[in-house]
Amino acid sequence: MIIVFGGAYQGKTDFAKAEFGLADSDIFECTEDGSLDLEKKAVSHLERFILKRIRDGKEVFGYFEEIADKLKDKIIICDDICCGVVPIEKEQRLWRDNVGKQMQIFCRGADEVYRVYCSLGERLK
Amino acid sequence: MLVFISGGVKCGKSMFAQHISRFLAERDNGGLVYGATMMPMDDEDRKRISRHVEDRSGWGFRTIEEGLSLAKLADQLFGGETVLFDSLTAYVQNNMFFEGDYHPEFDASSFKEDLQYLCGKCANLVVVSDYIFSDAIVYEDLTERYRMLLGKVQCECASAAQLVAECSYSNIKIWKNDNRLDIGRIKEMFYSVNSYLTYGDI
Repeated sequence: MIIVFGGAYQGKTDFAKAEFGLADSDIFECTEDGSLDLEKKAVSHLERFILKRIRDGKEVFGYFEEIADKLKDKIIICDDICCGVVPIEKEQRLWRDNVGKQMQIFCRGADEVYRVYCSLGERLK
Repeated sequence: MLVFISGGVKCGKSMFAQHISRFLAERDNGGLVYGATMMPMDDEDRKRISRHVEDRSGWGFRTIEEGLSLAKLADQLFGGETVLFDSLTAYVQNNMFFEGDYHPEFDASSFKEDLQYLCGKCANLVVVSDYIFSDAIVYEDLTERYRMLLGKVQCECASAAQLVAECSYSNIKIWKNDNRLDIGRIKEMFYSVNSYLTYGDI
Protein backbone atom coordinates (compact mmCIF):
# COMPACT_ATOMS: atom_id res chain seq x y z
CA MET A 1 0.00 0.00 0.00
CA ILE A 2 1.13 3.54 -0.75
CA ILE A 3 -0.20 6.42 1.33
CA VAL A 4 -0.32 10.06 0.24
CA PHE A 5 -1.62 12.52 2.81
CA GLY A 6 -1.52 16.26 3.48
CA GLY A 7 -3.77 19.23 4.16
CA ALA A 8 -6.72 20.11 1.96
CA TYR A 9 -5.97 21.66 -1.46
CA GLN A 10 -2.26 20.89 -1.28
CA GLY A 11 -2.06 19.11 -4.64
CA LYS A 12 -2.00 15.52 -3.31
CA THR A 13 -3.81 14.01 -6.29
CA ASP A 14 -1.60 15.84 -8.80
CA PHE A 15 1.45 14.66 -6.85
CA ALA A 16 0.23 11.05 -6.90
CA LYS A 17 -0.54 11.24 -10.63
CA ALA A 18 2.97 12.52 -11.41
CA GLU A 19 4.80 10.26 -8.94
CA PHE A 20 3.02 7.02 -9.82
CA GLY A 21 2.02 7.69 -13.44
CA LEU A 22 -1.73 7.63 -12.76
CA ALA A 23 -4.40 8.87 -15.14
CA ASP A 24 -7.64 10.41 -13.87
CA SER A 25 -9.38 7.15 -14.77
CA ASP A 26 -7.06 5.24 -12.39
CA ILE A 27 -8.37 7.18 -9.39
CA PHE A 28 -11.63 6.61 -7.55
CA GLU A 29 -12.64 9.84 -5.80
CA CYS A 30 -14.80 9.20 -2.75
CA THR A 31 -17.86 11.43 -2.48
CA GLU A 32 -20.55 11.73 0.14
CA ASP A 33 -22.51 8.85 -1.40
CA GLY A 34 -20.40 6.35 0.55
CA SER A 35 -19.37 4.12 -2.36
CA LEU A 36 -15.89 2.67 -2.85
CA ASP A 37 -14.58 1.25 -6.14
CA LEU A 38 -11.66 -1.07 -5.46
CA GLU A 39 -11.07 -1.92 -9.12
CA LYS A 40 -9.08 1.29 -9.60
CA LYS A 41 -5.41 1.75 -8.69
CA ALA A 42 -5.97 4.64 -6.33
CA VAL A 43 -8.61 5.93 -3.92
CA SER A 44 -8.72 9.64 -3.12
CA HIS A 45 -10.51 11.56 -0.36
CA LEU A 46 -10.69 8.57 1.92
CA GLU A 47 -11.67 11.01 4.68
CA ARG A 48 -15.02 11.58 2.91
CA PHE A 49 -15.71 7.86 2.81
CA ILE A 50 -15.02 7.64 6.54
CA LEU A 51 -17.24 10.67 7.25
CA LYS A 52 -20.12 9.01 5.42
CA ARG A 53 -19.70 5.80 7.45
CA ILE A 54 -19.77 7.82 10.66
CA ARG A 55 -22.89 9.70 9.55
CA ASP A 56 -24.54 6.37 8.78
CA GLY A 57 -23.54 4.98 12.18
CA LYS A 58 -21.37 2.34 10.52
CA GLU A 59 -18.17 0.98 12.01
CA VAL A 60 -14.83 1.92 10.34
CA PHE A 61 -11.82 -0.18 11.40
CA GLY A 62 -13.36 -3.63 11.08
CA TYR A 63 -14.59 -2.74 7.61
CA PHE A 64 -11.10 -1.85 6.40
CA GLU A 65 -9.71 -4.99 8.02
CA GLU A 66 -12.26 -7.07 6.09
CA ILE A 67 -11.17 -5.59 2.75
CA ALA A 68 -7.45 -5.46 3.66
CA ASP A 69 -6.50 -7.92 0.89
CA LYS A 70 -8.08 -5.70 -1.75
CA LEU A 71 -6.37 -2.59 -0.36
CA LYS A 72 -2.81 -3.87 -0.16
CA ASP A 73 -1.85 -2.82 -3.71
CA LYS A 74 -3.74 0.48 -3.64
CA ILE A 75 -2.58 4.05 -3.49
CA ILE A 76 -4.61 5.76 -0.77
CA ILE A 77 -4.91 9.56 -0.81
CA CYS A 78 -6.35 11.23 2.27
CA ASP A 79 -6.68 14.75 3.70
CA ASP A 80 -4.82 15.38 6.93
CA ILE A 81 -7.65 16.63 9.17
CA CYS A 82 -5.92 16.08 12.50
CA CYS A 83 -4.24 19.44 13.21
CA GLY A 84 -7.07 21.77 14.11
CA VAL A 85 -8.97 22.84 17.21
CA VAL A 86 -11.12 20.08 18.72
CA PRO A 87 -14.42 20.47 16.84
CA ILE A 88 -17.53 21.35 18.84
CA GLU A 89 -19.67 18.91 16.86
CA LYS A 90 -19.50 15.32 18.03
CA GLU A 91 -19.72 14.00 14.48
CA GLN A 92 -16.63 15.95 13.48
CA ARG A 93 -14.73 14.81 16.59
CA LEU A 94 -15.57 11.21 15.77
CA TRP A 95 -14.56 11.84 12.18
CA ARG A 96 -11.05 13.08 12.94
CA ASP A 97 -10.49 10.41 15.59
CA ASN A 98 -11.51 7.69 13.16
CA VAL A 99 -9.50 9.11 10.27
CA GLY A 100 -6.49 9.52 12.56
CA LYS A 101 -6.61 5.99 13.89
CA GLN A 102 -7.31 4.38 10.52
CA MET A 103 -4.48 6.33 8.89
CA GLN A 104 -2.13 5.18 11.65
CA ILE A 105 -3.10 1.59 10.88
CA PHE A 106 -2.60 2.14 7.16
CA CYS A 107 0.71 4.00 7.53
CA ARG A 108 2.19 1.37 9.82
CA GLY A 109 1.44 -1.31 7.29
CA ALA A 110 2.24 0.74 4.16
CA ASP A 111 5.24 0.21 1.89
CA GLU A 112 5.58 3.92 1.17
CA VAL A 113 4.18 7.03 2.86
CA TYR A 114 4.29 10.57 1.45
CA ARG A 115 3.22 13.90 2.90
CA VAL A 116 2.32 16.65 0.42
CA TYR A 117 2.67 20.35 1.26
CA CYS A 118 1.94 23.10 -1.30
CA SER A 119 2.39 20.74 -4.24
CA LEU A 120 5.68 19.35 -2.89
CA GLY A 121 5.90 15.76 -1.69
CA GLU A 122 8.12 14.35 1.02
CA ARG A 123 8.65 10.63 1.54
CA LEU A 124 8.23 9.80 5.22
CA LYS A 125 8.58 6.04 4.84
CA MET B 1 14.45 34.49 -7.15
CA LEU B 2 11.06 33.55 -5.78
CA VAL B 3 10.71 32.47 -2.14
CA PHE B 4 7.56 31.00 -0.59
CA ILE B 5 7.08 30.77 3.18
CA SER B 6 4.04 29.48 5.02
CA GLY B 7 3.05 28.29 8.46
CA GLY B 8 0.42 28.66 11.16
CA VAL B 9 -0.39 31.80 13.07
CA LYS B 10 2.38 33.32 15.23
CA CYS B 11 5.04 30.90 13.96
CA GLY B 12 7.64 33.54 13.04
CA LYS B 13 7.08 33.33 9.30
CA SER B 14 6.85 37.10 8.74
CA MET B 15 10.05 37.74 10.69
CA PHE B 16 11.86 34.89 8.92
CA ALA B 17 10.65 36.37 5.62
CA GLN B 18 12.07 39.77 6.63
CA HIS B 19 15.46 38.19 7.30
CA ILE B 20 15.48 36.39 3.96
CA SER B 21 14.40 39.59 2.20
CA ARG B 22 17.16 41.66 3.78
CA PHE B 23 19.72 38.96 3.00
CA LEU B 24 18.70 38.91 -0.67
CA ALA B 25 18.54 42.71 -0.99
CA GLU B 26 22.04 43.09 0.47
CA ARG B 27 23.36 40.29 -1.75
CA ASP B 28 21.91 41.92 -4.86
CA ASN B 29 22.54 45.57 -3.85
CA GLY B 30 18.89 46.47 -4.36
CA GLY B 31 16.15 48.24 -2.41
CA LEU B 32 13.68 46.62 -0.03
CA VAL B 33 9.96 46.88 -0.64
CA TYR B 34 7.16 45.71 1.62
CA GLY B 35 3.98 44.80 -0.20
CA ALA B 36 1.37 45.43 2.49
CA THR B 37 -1.87 43.57 1.89
CA MET B 38 -4.01 43.96 4.97
CA MET B 39 -7.09 46.14 4.47
CA PRO B 40 -8.08 46.93 8.07
CA MET B 41 -11.67 46.30 9.14
CA ASP B 42 -11.42 47.15 12.85
CA ASP B 43 -9.14 48.19 15.71
CA GLU B 44 -7.69 44.71 16.09
CA ASP B 45 -6.54 44.84 12.46
CA ARG B 46 -5.11 48.33 12.93
CA LYS B 47 -3.18 47.14 16.01
CA ARG B 48 -1.85 44.19 14.08
CA ILE B 49 -0.69 46.47 11.28
CA SER B 50 1.06 48.85 13.67
CA ARG B 51 2.88 45.86 15.25
CA HIS B 52 4.10 44.75 11.83
CA VAL B 53 5.14 48.35 10.99
CA GLU B 54 7.08 48.48 14.26
CA ASP B 55 8.73 45.14 13.46
CA ARG B 56 9.91 46.51 10.13
CA SER B 57 11.08 49.90 11.39
CA GLY B 58 14.77 50.45 10.80
CA TRP B 59 14.96 47.69 8.19
CA GLY B 60 14.80 50.09 5.24
CA PHE B 61 11.58 48.87 3.66
CA ARG B 62 9.66 51.13 1.31
CA THR B 63 6.01 50.19 1.90
CA ILE B 64 3.55 49.85 -0.95
CA GLU B 65 -0.03 49.22 0.07
CA GLU B 66 -1.60 46.95 -2.52
CA GLY B 67 -3.92 44.24 -1.29
CA LEU B 68 -5.68 43.29 -4.52
CA SER B 69 -3.32 43.02 -7.48
CA LEU B 70 0.19 41.67 -7.90
CA ALA B 71 0.39 43.43 -11.26
CA LYS B 72 -0.43 46.82 -9.73
CA LEU B 73 2.21 46.23 -7.08
CA ALA B 74 4.69 45.38 -9.85
CA ASP B 75 3.95 48.65 -11.65
CA GLN B 76 5.00 50.67 -8.59
CA LEU B 77 8.49 49.15 -8.42
CA PHE B 78 11.69 50.93 -9.47
CA GLY B 79 13.49 47.76 -10.56
CA GLY B 80 16.14 45.53 -8.95
CA GLU B 81 14.30 45.50 -5.62
CA THR B 82 13.56 42.67 -3.23
CA VAL B 83 9.84 42.58 -2.48
CA LEU B 84 8.31 41.03 0.61
CA PHE B 85 4.64 40.23 -0.06
CA ASP B 86 2.78 39.51 3.17
CA SER B 87 0.39 37.76 2.70
CA LEU B 88 -1.38 35.58 0.13
CA THR B 89 -4.02 34.89 2.79
CA ALA B 90 -5.02 38.56 2.85
CA TYR B 91 -4.74 38.80 -0.94
CA VAL B 92 -7.34 36.05 -1.47
CA GLN B 93 -9.57 37.44 1.28
CA ASN B 94 -9.40 40.99 -0.14
CA ASN B 95 -10.32 39.82 -3.62
CA MET B 96 -13.16 37.57 -2.45
CA PHE B 97 -14.69 40.17 -0.14
CA PHE B 98 -13.66 43.51 -1.67
CA GLU B 99 -15.48 46.46 -0.05
CA GLY B 100 -17.51 44.15 2.14
CA ASP B 101 -19.25 42.29 -0.68
CA TYR B 102 -18.70 38.72 -1.78
CA HIS B 103 -17.21 38.50 -5.28
CA PRO B 104 -18.00 35.02 -6.62
CA GLU B 105 -16.30 35.88 -9.92
CA PHE B 106 -12.88 35.96 -8.28
CA ASP B 107 -11.25 32.63 -9.12
CA ALA B 108 -7.54 33.55 -8.92
CA SER B 109 -7.18 32.50 -12.56
CA SER B 110 -4.80 35.39 -13.27
CA PHE B 111 -2.61 34.66 -10.26
CA LYS B 112 0.06 32.61 -12.04
CA GLU B 113 0.48 35.19 -14.78
CA ASP B 114 0.49 38.13 -12.33
CA LEU B 115 3.06 36.34 -10.20
CA GLN B 116 5.33 35.90 -13.22
CA TYR B 117 4.83 39.55 -14.14
CA LEU B 118 5.75 40.67 -10.63
CA CYS B 119 8.80 38.38 -10.57
CA GLY B 120 9.92 39.97 -13.82
CA LYS B 121 9.78 43.45 -12.28
CA CYS B 122 11.93 42.76 -9.21
CA ALA B 123 15.18 41.02 -8.30
CA ASN B 124 13.57 38.85 -5.62
CA LEU B 125 10.08 38.17 -4.39
CA VAL B 126 9.41 36.70 -0.94
CA VAL B 127 5.80 35.56 -0.48
CA VAL B 128 4.25 34.78 2.91
CA SER B 129 1.07 32.80 3.50
CA ASP B 130 -0.89 31.02 6.22
CA TYR B 131 -1.33 27.27 6.48
CA ILE B 132 -5.01 26.62 7.27
CA PHE B 133 -5.63 23.24 5.68
CA SER B 134 -5.52 20.53 8.34
CA ASP B 135 -8.51 20.83 10.61
CA ALA B 136 -11.53 18.53 10.87
CA ILE B 137 -14.31 20.97 10.16
CA VAL B 138 -16.84 20.65 7.37
CA TYR B 139 -17.08 24.30 6.32
CA GLU B 140 -19.91 26.06 4.56
CA ASP B 141 -19.39 26.76 0.85
CA LEU B 142 -17.93 30.25 1.21
CA THR B 143 -15.16 29.26 3.63
CA GLU B 144 -14.50 26.10 1.62
CA ARG B 145 -14.10 28.23 -1.51
CA TYR B 146 -11.68 30.51 0.35
CA ARG B 147 -9.61 27.48 1.39
CA MET B 148 -9.69 26.09 -2.14
CA LEU B 149 -8.51 29.37 -3.71
CA LEU B 150 -5.82 29.92 -1.10
CA GLY B 151 -4.61 26.33 -1.60
CA LYS B 152 -4.51 26.88 -5.35
CA VAL B 153 -2.43 30.09 -5.23
CA GLN B 154 -0.11 28.59 -2.62
CA CYS B 155 0.52 25.51 -4.76
CA GLU B 156 1.19 27.69 -7.81
CA CYS B 157 3.53 29.92 -5.83
CA ALA B 158 5.42 27.04 -4.21
CA SER B 159 5.74 25.21 -7.55
CA ALA B 160 7.28 28.27 -9.18
CA ALA B 161 9.50 29.15 -6.19
CA GLN B 162 13.20 28.28 -5.92
CA LEU B 163 13.03 28.33 -2.12
CA VAL B 164 10.12 26.96 -0.08
CA ALA B 165 10.12 27.03 3.71
CA GLU B 166 7.56 25.94 6.30
CA CYS B 167 7.59 27.58 9.74
CA SER B 168 6.28 25.94 12.88
CA TYR B 169 6.84 27.66 16.23
CA SER B 170 9.90 29.34 14.70
CA ASN B 171 11.32 26.01 13.49
CA ILE B 172 12.13 26.12 9.80
CA LYS B 173 11.71 23.20 7.44
CA ILE B 174 13.17 23.69 3.97
CA TRP B 175 11.12 21.91 1.31
CA LYS B 176 13.09 23.18 -1.66
CA ASN B 177 16.29 25.20 -2.10
CA ASP B 178 17.09 25.08 -5.81
CA ASN B 179 19.52 28.04 -5.70
CA ARG B 180 21.38 26.64 -2.69
CA LEU B 181 20.87 29.79 -0.68
CA ASP B 182 22.86 29.87 2.56
CA ILE B 183 19.91 29.08 4.83
CA GLY B 184 22.22 28.49 7.79
CA ARG B 185 23.31 32.16 7.72
CA ILE B 186 19.72 33.39 7.49
CA LYS B 187 18.57 31.11 10.31
CA GLU B 188 21.43 32.37 12.48
CA MET B 189 20.26 35.97 12.01
CA PHE B 190 16.64 34.94 12.61
CA TYR B 191 17.44 33.14 15.86
CA SER B 192 19.83 35.85 17.11
CA VAL B 193 16.92 38.22 17.80
CA ASN B 194 14.00 37.34 20.06
CA SER B 195 11.63 38.90 17.59
CA TYR B 196 8.58 37.21 19.08
CA LEU B 197 8.98 39.40 22.16
CA THR B 198 7.99 42.44 20.13
CA TYR B 199 4.61 41.07 19.31
CA GLY B 200 2.76 42.69 22.21
CA ASP B 201 -0.48 41.48 23.67
CA ILE B 202 -1.90 39.16 21.01
